[in-house]
Amino acid sequence: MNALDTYVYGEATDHNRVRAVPLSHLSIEVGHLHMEDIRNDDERIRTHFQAIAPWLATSIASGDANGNKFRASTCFLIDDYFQRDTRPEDVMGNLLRAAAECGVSIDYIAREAGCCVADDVPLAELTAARLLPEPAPGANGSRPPTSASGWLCNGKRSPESESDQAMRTPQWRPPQEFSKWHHSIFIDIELWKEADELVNGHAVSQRTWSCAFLASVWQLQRLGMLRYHGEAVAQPCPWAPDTRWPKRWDELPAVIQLNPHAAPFAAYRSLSILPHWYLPIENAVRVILGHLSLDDGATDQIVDRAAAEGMLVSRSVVERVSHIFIEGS
Amino acid sequence: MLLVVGEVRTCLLHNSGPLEQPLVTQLLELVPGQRVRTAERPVPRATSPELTHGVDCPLAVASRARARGIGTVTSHAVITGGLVLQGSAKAQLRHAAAGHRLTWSHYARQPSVIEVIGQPDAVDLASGYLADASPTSALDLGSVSEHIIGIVQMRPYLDHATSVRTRPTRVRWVAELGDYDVSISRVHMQSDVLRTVELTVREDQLDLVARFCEDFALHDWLLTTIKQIIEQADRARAGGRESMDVLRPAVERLLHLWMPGAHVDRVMRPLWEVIELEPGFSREWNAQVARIRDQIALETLQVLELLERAKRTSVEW
Repeated sequence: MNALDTYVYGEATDHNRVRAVPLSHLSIEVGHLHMEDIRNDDERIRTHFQAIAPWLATSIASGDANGNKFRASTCFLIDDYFQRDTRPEDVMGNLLRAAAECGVSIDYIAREAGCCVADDVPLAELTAARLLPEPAPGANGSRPPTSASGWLCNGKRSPESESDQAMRTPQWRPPQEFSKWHHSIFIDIELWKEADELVNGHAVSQRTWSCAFLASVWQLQRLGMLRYHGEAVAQPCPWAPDTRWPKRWDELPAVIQLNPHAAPFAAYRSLSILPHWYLPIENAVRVILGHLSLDDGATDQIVDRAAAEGMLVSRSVVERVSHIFIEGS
Repeated sequence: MLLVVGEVRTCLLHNSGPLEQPLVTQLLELVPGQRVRTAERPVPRATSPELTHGVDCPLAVASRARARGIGTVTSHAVITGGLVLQGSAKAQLRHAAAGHRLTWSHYARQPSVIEVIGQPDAVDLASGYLADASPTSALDLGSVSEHIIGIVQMRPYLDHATSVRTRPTRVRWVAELGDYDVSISRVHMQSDVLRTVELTVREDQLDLVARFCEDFALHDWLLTTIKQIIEQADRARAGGRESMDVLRPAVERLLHLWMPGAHVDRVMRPLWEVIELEPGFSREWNAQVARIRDQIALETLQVLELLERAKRTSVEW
């Protein structure tokens, strides 16, 4: 062996290091309620948790960890992005009491606004930068992909009605799903909308993310896929049981850990148990997740760690996400 | 896996002088939240995060076989010496398991992989790709490279003035898979600005190939550019103009960038040894540099003689 065989020169800035995050086997979402549900109707919350409880118990009991202890954590998402007119001190006590009475233990509470910005990191914007629009047949790289700003679809939109000169009647042409199997199921999703708002007397364009887009960021958080310059973001902050709830939602961290003995927040797989009217939103989430080009380093890490535990985890985030839709009004 | 195809385009950054590394880093922050990779030694080099593009198009094949490629191409920008900009695009070609297009998440999860529907073999695809330098409907990696160069050149940190007149160059490359250590089978100068490179690598060396091709492209561009500068200086002299104005920026900005293999993984360096033997890049470079230095020395001597003569005349007067 000579000196060259063992010698290595390197510079710290010349690497794409990705910070690892603790991982459970399964992250179970036990609800994503709107403020008005939480605020006005204790009975409704109770009904929700009662419906969830058997599914939660079954999911944990049937968890497969290849002979190891099954690690599952539960989480609950609070919508403080679209509605901010409640106070944590008025809401949280009731919510957690109702859950506990129904036998649903909540390990982590997350805020939907935290899916937009957490710890000063613009999570939604970072995710939007990873969108990978689907190419139309014939796209060979010669032109940059065209995409309607703020929208994402899984195919070719129906062209605007073109008038047939001879007939003088508008002709409709159908949209088309690119990966259709005989027939199309075309989906067009609004990711955000922009509107001018007055800030100090000046019109400033403000972007409002859609519920479907923020729910996609929420899935990425739970799947341990978000990094900022390689560092983990929006990590759970411990919350002691007797701490007073603040008056405003933005005084709470993006994710808080209620149960000090909980399994890690992020997981190889996620399961969301939601009322059936979430189906269109979660379908949109699956389409969005399938149109992201995510951090290869983070994916490698998760796939390798699962393999070290003797488990197979897909490189595709969509395949790591599952749902149970339950009755609900 | 069948093979890897790529194209590197090299040009001068639209700026009057070399940029400091912190500014280069800002310039290459093309994806928010993603790191720009930088190395200071022996020559400053910075690499942007990868951009991913979706494609679904015919692939050029040499035989009559038909091939459709669906998947993604990745590209990044590289700046060397705060001055030379490269756009580098690549994709691995693999046989598709299904005979039709699958749901997009299948392709999105494997960046830089194009699945090939059809039965062409690696040789067919490699020669088809190299022969089709200006594709109209087939896979066009050159445009993907050009696109990322365009993004960087449009960024606000540049003054859009250049002190050296140069032409962009293109290197189109293919790497086939082999059982032995990396080898280079062919370097071909297709035209004054287009070259093709054919390599064979082991599967575990695949990630190293693009960087070698970028290093080759950088040095090929330097050599092409220095020859253009000498021609420009000759023309200036013949026209009675000052050739030093052309030569000086070249000496100041380009000569120190010549370091074949400096940023290339050790296992790829034997490829440079082959290129140095034939056609002998460094031999040619050294000859051109010597020519420039001789010209500068001669012009300096002329100026000194003129000064001397002027002094003598003024004393006699």
